[in-house]
Amino acid sequence: MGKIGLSAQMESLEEFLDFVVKEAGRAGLPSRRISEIRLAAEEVLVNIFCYAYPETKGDVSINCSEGEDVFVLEILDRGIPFNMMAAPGPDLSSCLSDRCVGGLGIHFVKKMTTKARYVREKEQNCLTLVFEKCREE
Amino acid sequence: MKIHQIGQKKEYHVVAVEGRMDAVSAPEFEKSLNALIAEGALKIIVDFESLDYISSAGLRSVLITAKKIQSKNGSIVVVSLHGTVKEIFEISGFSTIIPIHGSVDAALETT
Repeated sequence: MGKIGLSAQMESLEEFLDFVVKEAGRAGLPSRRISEIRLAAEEVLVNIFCYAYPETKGDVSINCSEGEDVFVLEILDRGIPFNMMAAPGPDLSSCLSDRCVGGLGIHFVKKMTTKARYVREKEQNCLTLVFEKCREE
Repeated sequence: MKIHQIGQKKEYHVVAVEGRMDAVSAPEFEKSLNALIAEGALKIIVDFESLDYISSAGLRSVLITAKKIQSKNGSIVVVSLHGTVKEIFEISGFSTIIPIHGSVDAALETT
């Protein structure tokens, strides 16, 4: 399946997500699942755009692959080491006036993925997100 | 994403959002609602019937708008959530902090 690499900036978001949606469609995933995968990809990408390269410009790439029952996104950047999956989740119980949205994106990624793995190798952050093609409601 | 100003129903200003609310388009929603609040709207119904997708950036904009209107003793109601958008509201816990109704009419009936 395909691969895409673009600069780590908000202007790249739509192109990245269009690519992910197209690849997930080619893998035959149902539209609801594609929407969930789009969401997980957006949350990871926006996090990278905002934090991975604080003082320089850099790139991000996404590899798509599939197994019999799974669709896999591998997201790579050369920014500062950061394991998104180990970051704390949000406080979901607070009321409106106390509520902040920090950590919500990570919470969504965890909810949407079947499995996630982070490694730092060759000076790259490599986040692998595994999605079951069809998920029980 | 497109934002449609539907007009006023009872004391509510109704705004319909169409398409996708993501990190790129969410600021536009915020700007649009801010303008409405600046014009004096204190009660707003946001109709998500035609919204197909929302991310945490979209939720952040909804939250910021809700806080802003609450600080003026106004209120915001979200209606017609479906599919992934409904799921996102549920898993974020937003369903418990922002009033949600099935339709514009249902929201008007209960207020």
